[in-house]
Amino acid sequence: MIHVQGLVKSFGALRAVNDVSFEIERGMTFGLLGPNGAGKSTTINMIVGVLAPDAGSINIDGASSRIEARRCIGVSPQSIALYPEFTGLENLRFFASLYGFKGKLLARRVDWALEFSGLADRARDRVSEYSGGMQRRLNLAVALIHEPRILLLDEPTVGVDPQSRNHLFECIEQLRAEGLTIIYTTHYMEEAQRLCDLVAIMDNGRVLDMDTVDGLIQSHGGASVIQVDLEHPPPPGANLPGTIDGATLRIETDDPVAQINSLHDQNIAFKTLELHNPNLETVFLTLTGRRLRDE
Amino acid sequence: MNNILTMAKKDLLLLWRDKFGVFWILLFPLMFALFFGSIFGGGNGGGSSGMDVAFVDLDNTEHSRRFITLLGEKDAIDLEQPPEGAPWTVETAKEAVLSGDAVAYVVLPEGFGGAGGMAMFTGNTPEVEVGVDPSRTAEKGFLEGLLMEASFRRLQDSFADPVSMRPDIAQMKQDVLADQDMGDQWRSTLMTFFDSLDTFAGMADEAIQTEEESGGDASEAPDMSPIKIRHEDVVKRSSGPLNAYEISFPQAIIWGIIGAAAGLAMMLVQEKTRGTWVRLRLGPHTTAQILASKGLSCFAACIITIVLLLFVGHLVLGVRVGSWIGLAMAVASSAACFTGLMMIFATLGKTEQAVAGWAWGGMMPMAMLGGGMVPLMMMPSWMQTMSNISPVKWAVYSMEGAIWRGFTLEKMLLPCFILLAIGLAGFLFGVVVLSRREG
Repeated sequence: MIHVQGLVKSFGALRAVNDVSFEIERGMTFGLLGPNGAGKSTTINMIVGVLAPDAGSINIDGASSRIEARRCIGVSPQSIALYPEFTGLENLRFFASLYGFKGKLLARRVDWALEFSGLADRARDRVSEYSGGMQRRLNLAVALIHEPRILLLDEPTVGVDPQSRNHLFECIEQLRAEGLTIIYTTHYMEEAQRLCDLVAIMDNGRVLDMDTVDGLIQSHGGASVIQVDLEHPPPPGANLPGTIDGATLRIETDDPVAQINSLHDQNIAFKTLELHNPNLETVFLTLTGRRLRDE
Repeated sequence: MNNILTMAKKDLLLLWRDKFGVFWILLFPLMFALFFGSIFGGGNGGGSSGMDVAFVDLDNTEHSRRFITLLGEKDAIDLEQPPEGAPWTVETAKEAVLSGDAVAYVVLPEGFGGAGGMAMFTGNTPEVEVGVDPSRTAEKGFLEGLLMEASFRRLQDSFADPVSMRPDIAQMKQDVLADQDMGDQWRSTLMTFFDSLDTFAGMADEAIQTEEESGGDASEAPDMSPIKIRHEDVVKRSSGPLNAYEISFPQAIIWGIIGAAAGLAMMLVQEKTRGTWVRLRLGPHTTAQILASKGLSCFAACIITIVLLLFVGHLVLGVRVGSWIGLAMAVASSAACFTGLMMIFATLGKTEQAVAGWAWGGMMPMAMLGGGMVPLMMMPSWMQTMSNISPVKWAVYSMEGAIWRGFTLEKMLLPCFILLAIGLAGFLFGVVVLSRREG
């Protein structure tokens, strides 16, 4: 559905996007994961046609023109792209009318958007009076007002309280279930892990690797780590897996459940046991030598 | 085209919801017009001022002075004072009309006061010369009417005081007898009339004395008015401003459209800083169409501003419109000019503060130089020449041309063409620069 090949974009001496390629199938949720400044938003802006790439090509569902491509894409930008002087209703009406909706069809789409965002009872309040979470939900609803086939979500949860974040996740999962193709950029690995079918790890304008979440973890996450705080330091020469440092035992394993069962079978008493499974954070650390949220 | 209209409508609604913006676009200009209008006009409340008339009194008698005083007491006439205190001569009075200091001049010839205003009975009717610009037909007729009214008033005064009329009657009888050119029959008729008049005056004298001796009121004489005057409203035409608001409103309009253009330039940048620009660009239209909508909203905002201010000026404060077609040309070309300027200023900064600084900082000197603060007509000639470089001058000039300068449509073309050229150049510059920035 979306085919991106060899995208390059520079701003002066800075190469913001460097030879980025990927392909997204219909109905897939594709995650672009990377720290701030990795080149995610620039890539998104080139896909929607706001920025012209220096090199490379983009094909969106076979659209023959930029305007035709835009009609099938809905974008929820990173910033709240709404008119705070307008009410929620006025914002929805305005953006819907840009796509040619009018009359009953317009009213039906606006009603749907208000219902979807849970703002029906605040529709006639000015956006400036909304909470951050409500503004985010309306931002998403405006992106969907013209019934796009592709939805681009650029860091949709930045600055959102946990309750609104959960509401947003539920909305996105609903859209995903309805078969919408979604491109999701984030620097929160748990979001990518929860929502995305396919994840591309980006840093310094490059895609470092791209796979399913499990595939990436398997390739770059390494083993799980079990850290056990023992009741008594083991006697010298005891046959324990892993490495021992005083009363702390550390085991790296691909099968943590089997290891824990083995410790139990050996009657090893411990105060605490911690299990660290590899995740996208670990993947990013392995690929770049840095943590995702260092930036 | 629909999207251009939708986006322009949205911008106008946003502008209207910005209370601070509305103050600068409508309320401040209105306050400006009222304040400076009342200063320039001495607070005449917008009512018409009197017609300045220079009276040349060659007769210089009590009757002629009384005649001038009678006219001067009328609201419709202001007695123009002669320069340096010397009495008016025909030459200086003519010069006053030519230079626009007076609307008209009136010459009262020698012998004007003879026969107490009844010289018409002796065939020696004084000939009053009235000098008015030929284009001022209304003033000419109005002034003639006032002169006739005052003449009859003088006659009425004579009949109201018959005793004082008797020496004049004796003088007129002598003049009639001395006139060799007069036919015998006409002389006989007039002598009979004057004898009857003298008899009437004598009887009136006796009646007054009798009334006074019996303790009655001698002033209760019957109304002897020779004619009745019916007053007609006369709309004055002039080549100068009728009232000070005709000067202050074009200036105020400039401040209104500067406010509108600055507000929309800031709004364009605001779209970018708040992210709605990206959303607009993602819509099914081109960047050029978005910029066209910005131009259209600025043009419409300027038109609305001008029309609303002129509406108040015309209906409430008596600002006339000399030429409605000329005014439409001035309004449209001024709005186009400031739309172009808006586009230029929108390219000069990347933040609202920067654009606001450029817009107000750029347009303020233009307004100062172009007659937005000091009226063009009050500027020294060197400054009037310099003001040609300011678009504000051409906007003010075109509006004044349509309001009170009496420009023909042909004469309106130059300022309107200059304004349109600036507007078009500015708009194209803005579109090219902004489009390039968008890649």
